[in-house]
Amino acid sequence: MPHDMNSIKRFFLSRITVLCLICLALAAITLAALVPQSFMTSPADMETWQAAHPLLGRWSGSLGLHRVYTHPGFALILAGVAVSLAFSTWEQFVRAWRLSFARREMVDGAILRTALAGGPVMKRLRSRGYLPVGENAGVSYLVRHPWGYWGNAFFHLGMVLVIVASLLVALTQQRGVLQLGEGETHEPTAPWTDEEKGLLARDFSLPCPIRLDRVIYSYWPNHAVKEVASTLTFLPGSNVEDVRSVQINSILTYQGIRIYQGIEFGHAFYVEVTGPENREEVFQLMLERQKAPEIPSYNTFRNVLGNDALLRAKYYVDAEKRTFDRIDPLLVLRVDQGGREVGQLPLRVGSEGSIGPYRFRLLRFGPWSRLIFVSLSGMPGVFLGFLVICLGGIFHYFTPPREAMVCPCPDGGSEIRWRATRFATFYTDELAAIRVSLEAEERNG
Amino acid sequence: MDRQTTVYVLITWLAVFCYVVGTIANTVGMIFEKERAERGSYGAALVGLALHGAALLFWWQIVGHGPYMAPSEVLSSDAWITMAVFLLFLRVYPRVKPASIIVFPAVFLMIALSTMYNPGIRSLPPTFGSIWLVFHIAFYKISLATLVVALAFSLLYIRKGARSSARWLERLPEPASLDLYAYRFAGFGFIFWGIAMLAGSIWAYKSWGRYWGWDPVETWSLITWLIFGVYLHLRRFFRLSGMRAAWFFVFCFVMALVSLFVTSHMGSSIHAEYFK
Repeated sequence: MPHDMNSIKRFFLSRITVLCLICLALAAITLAALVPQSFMTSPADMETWQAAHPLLGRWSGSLGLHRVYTHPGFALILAGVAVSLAFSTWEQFVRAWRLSFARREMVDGAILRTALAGGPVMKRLRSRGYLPVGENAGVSYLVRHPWGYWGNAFFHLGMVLVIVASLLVALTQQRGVLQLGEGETHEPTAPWTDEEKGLLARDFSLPCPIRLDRVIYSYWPNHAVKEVASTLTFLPGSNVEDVRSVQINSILTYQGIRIYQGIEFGHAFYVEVTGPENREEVFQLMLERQKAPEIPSYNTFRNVLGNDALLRAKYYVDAEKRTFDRIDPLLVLRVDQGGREVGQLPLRVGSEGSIGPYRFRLLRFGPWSRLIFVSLSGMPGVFLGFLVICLGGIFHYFTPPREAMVCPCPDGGSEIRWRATRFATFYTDELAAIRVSLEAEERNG
Repeated sequence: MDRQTTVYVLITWLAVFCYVVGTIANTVGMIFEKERAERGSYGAALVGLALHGAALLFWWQIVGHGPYMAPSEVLSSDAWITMAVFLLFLRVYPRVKPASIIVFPAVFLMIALSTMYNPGIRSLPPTFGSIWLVFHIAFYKISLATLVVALAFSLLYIRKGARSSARWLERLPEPASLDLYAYRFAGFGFIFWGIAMLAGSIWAYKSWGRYWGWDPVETWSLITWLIFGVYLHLRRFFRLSGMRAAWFFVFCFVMALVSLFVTSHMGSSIHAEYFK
């Protein structure tokens, strides 16, 4: 290996570098846990936080503390961690290979002497889980849990796998969210309710139109949600319909796209609005489910009325506010203008009324549900990485190898050198048990 | 209180009684060198564990979900798993016996705290109906149990290193051994914590298509895991040991408690349903 490469490797494998990298990653993640991150905080909440923490708010703006995970500094830390882990994994594998397959003289360890010959000693050790791993000039080597040598190698390899696979997921993932009302069809060209995609991912669109036929939901006696499911129809061509269902924890896969049932659902109200210019328009007002029959669900609609007028809505699924079993909703609309309430209007299906210059008519209503569409590659890599990490940890902490070397003595007996490669004092009982077992064998002849 | 809840509370209190007897006998046995009392304490703990297990199973059958929704269920199952894991380790590695002087009171404390909450029946949100959630929670509990054992050894080390003249401390293993046991059990805790995060990410991916969402609970769990990683790294490569290692572990343990019991109360977390 060229000299420069060796110094780079030494730098990344230095225990100080490794410790610094772990501490930097830890500091970055802790910072992101303390400062609200823009990808998971609404702009309004972010403004509130900045107003409450003026100093941190200023630093957050200039240092990018509100976007730690997409900050070049964090990418640099991750890259450093990945390079260090990659070198370390290689080193650990070479070491584990050497320990597993190239036996060396054991210079330290406890020494036992017995009058027994090599054969019976080996038999006794094998019965205690020691596996023969090599022989050299009459000296036999045995190891209990030889896979324990590979613990660190697997642990580091797993972390490399997780980082690489997570990077692939982050760069290529496509994710779209739809909130559809019952009977509504979403065309592939229509925009998503919400969308996320990786830097290298193309725009996400469905392979064909999709219609939400039915939303099925049920409640526990205490009004908590028990189950949510949707029946969907895929419309790949004229006169072709493919009906499928999806529910929470029962994922639907269609042409490589995984479809998840969201926990959010409620009722959509179709309201005809006639404005001051006598122009009629039908709006779909989606409100999330109520938490209890007597507690209304609220939503605010900014783009319905225009002219600085805000439409607020609340609803009860049972107008009598008694149960979730009876579907006879009451929708209450309220118009605010310039921060002042103009008026309120209760509506039942088919009824109409006015608030200020606006006339409203409730045409119909129906349930809606949230569906999550995901297309990503790399997940098996992430989970495989996690599994390898766990396997490595289990090998390292649960099965430290115990080595035994059996040498023949000139008097026909044997000398046994024994050591535990890690946590030695934890296994002194094991050495004592071997001694007792050999003494018993000697006595029994 | 209905009949079923009364039966559950009654069996739980019987278990509490056994744990109290076990804790007192263990402390007396350890401090005053009463071997019979110490031996008896493990018997009392075993009986308590059996009764406690029966209470948890009975409640599981009534509410229709595992002990991970209501605070009383969470703390009670934490106590059960801590005692079960300790007794299991005691069987495999008898050298961990001295930790009982801290593990027994810790178990008693957890179950006592659980009885202060109303054992109301909580309904299971639909996303909680996955087997991966059961693994996710079970491994965090096992991790907590091993960390309690590691804490016990760290505290015993600190106590022994405080130059006390107490005779019972002299009967404890050598400080170097206590230090090593703490290290070993911290390693177990680190691994089980990692497995719990893995199970959680599989659960999340199966429930809403995201294996990691930087949710506050997830983030603090990762932070805790990394802090344990720093502890283990310092021990292995920087030969951190003795008093400094013991105090560092106490800090790690406090972080683990914050991760498990405080962050899940954050309203912005999807975990807020749990332990409400």
